[in-house]
Amino acid sequence: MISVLVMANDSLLADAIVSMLAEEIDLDVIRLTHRELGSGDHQSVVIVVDEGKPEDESIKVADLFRDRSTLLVIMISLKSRDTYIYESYQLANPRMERVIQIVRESSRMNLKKKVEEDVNMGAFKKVNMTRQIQIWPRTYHPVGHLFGNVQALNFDDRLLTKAGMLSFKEMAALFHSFFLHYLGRKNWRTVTRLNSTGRSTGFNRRG
Amino acid sequence: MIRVMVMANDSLLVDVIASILAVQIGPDVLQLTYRLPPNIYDAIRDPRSIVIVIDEGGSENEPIKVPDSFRVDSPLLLIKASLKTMNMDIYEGYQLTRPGMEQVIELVRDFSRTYLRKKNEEAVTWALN
Repeated sequence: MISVLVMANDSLLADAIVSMLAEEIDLDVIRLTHRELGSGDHQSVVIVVDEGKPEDESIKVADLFRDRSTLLVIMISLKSRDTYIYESYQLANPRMERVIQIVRESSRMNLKKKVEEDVNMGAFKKVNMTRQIQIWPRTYHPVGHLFGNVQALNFDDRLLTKAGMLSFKEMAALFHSFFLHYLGRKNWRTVTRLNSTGRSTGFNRRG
Repeated sequence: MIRVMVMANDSLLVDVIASILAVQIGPDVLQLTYRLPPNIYDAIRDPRSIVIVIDEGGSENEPIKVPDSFRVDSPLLLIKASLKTMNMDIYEGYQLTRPGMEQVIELVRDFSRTYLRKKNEEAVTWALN
């Protein structure tokens, strides 16, 4: 059984969350209000329903992590309707490769989130205007930069030729796949291309 | 660009770690010491930065405030490496945009499967030995 602590004030939403969790056979749900949390409560999974109360009543994530090595905190914000995930865990005597892997995975997640934000902002609606594309050139390959630029050109051409045929979702997926293609590469740089006339005007590199 | 900040006292080991990260991750690797004024740390801190803290132990007057580095609205990876215990504590924060309840439950199960079960197994192994 996975013991889950739900911290929320009495509300209909909190009732719903607790009842949905309690329906799962492998979850053992404990419910507390913010004021009832004591020092003896050491569940490894904590779900916090943040109702946007004043500072002194709200839960501070830092307090939950004090003296805890393995903890998952899921903070559901009713104000922003977003969910924040905080994880802490311990690795015993890891190698440097593992550290690099963790850093890369985290940066990949951040980049993916940034792409999703860009998609949500509708940045792709202006296909014929100046765009900024982040690319990850292959730095280990002697023609790495060239490869990256060629890929960017191919992507642009593909986008331009299909711009009239693709739906917004398809274009978002296309752009997303382009980003994923370059994940794991280092030294990304911003490439700005003006393609109002449909031809390349070169790259402005900013290091 | 992902900024990696390595916080430690000046030592050869930290130089090596920072150099490896600069080669493998990217050139934006900053090496910081605890003696810097707090406002400098705040000025260079990026919401998407990754912080690696090297805990050399025995620095009672220079405590490492790991939880303070968490911010609700900042995706952050914080790795605290202890040279004394040879262990690493990983603190990771990220945001999900309007997830469903199924996704939250799956997240709980994944975390439990990956880390809690392993922790229990380690405790049992240690007790048996």
